[in-house]
Amino acid sequence: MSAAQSGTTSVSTQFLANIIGKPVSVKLYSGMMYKGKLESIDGFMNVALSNTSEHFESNAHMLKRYENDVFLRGTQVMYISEA
Amino acid sequence: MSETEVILPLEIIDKTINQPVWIILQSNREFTGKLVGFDDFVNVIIEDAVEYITDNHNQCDTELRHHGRMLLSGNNIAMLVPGGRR
Amino acid sequence: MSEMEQERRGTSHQQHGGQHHHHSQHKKKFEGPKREAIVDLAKYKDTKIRVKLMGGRLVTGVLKGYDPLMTLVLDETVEYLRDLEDSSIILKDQTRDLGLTVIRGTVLLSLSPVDGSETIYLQMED
Repeated sequence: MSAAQSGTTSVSTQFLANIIGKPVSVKLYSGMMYKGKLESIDGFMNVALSNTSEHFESNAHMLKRYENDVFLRGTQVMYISEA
Repeated sequence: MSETEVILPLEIIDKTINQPVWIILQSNREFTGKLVGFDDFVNVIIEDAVEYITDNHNQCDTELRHHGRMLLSGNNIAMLVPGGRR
Repeated sequence: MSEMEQERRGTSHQQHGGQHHHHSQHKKKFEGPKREAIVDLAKYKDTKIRVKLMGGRLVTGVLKGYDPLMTLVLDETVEYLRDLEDSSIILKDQTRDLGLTVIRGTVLLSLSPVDGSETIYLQMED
C-alpha cells in the first residue's frame, strides 16, 4: 500500500491504526470470513487475529474456532470491516 | 476537445466522499455505502456497507449488512459508481 | 502498479546506454522521460467506447475522462450481463445502466470505439 511506502498517512493507514484491538471481520477473496480481535496489521493488509471464528460468506454458520492467533495473508484479503 | 475538459477520474471519486458509492469488483460481488475515503491504490473506506453477491446481477442477490467502517482492498475493484446502487 | 513501473524503469536499459555502474544516478535519469500511454485517449473523448475488464465484465459508455494510469470516466455506462452458467456468454438483451462510472486502469483488458464495429451474436439452437 502507498502509505507504508511513501511515509504519508493516507485514510487507509489511519483506519488501520484506529481499528487495532477492536473486533473485526476479515473476508478473503475465497469467501471465507474470519471474525476476531485485530491484534496486528501491516501495510500489505497482512492481518493477525485472536479469538477467531471462521465462517463462509455470512455470519450465519460458524465453521471453526481458533484458540490461538490466526494470521491472514494480505494478498488474499478482500476487506476488513469493523464488526 | 480541449485538454482542460478532460475529467480526472480521481476528482470524480474525490467529489463522492461523504456520499453514497457503488463499488463493483471484478468478480460477481458489489458493495454500497457511504464513501469515507480512498488512497493512491484505490483501496476504499466505506461506512455502513452492504455487500451483494450477485448470482444473476439484477436478481438472486444475497445481501450482507455491515455496520461501521470497512476497508475494501483496491486489488479487485473494477468500477466505482458515484451515487450508490441503482 | 506504481511499484511495478518503477521496477521496470530501473531495470530497462534501452533509453540510456552506458553508465550502468552508477546505479543511483542511473535510476534518477529515468525519472526524466515520462512514460506515455500507448494510446492517446483524447481521440476517443466524447465518443462511445466498449471496454472489456479483467474478470469478464463488458461495458460501453461515452468517454468523459481518463488519467495516465488509464483509469476511465464513462458516462451513460451500460454493462452487458452474462449467462448464469457460462459467464463467457454475453447475453444480447440483458444490460443494466450504471450511469457515470469510474473504471480502474488496472483491470482494463481492451478498449475500442463502438462505432465502426459490429457484435456478432451466435444463434443458440435448442
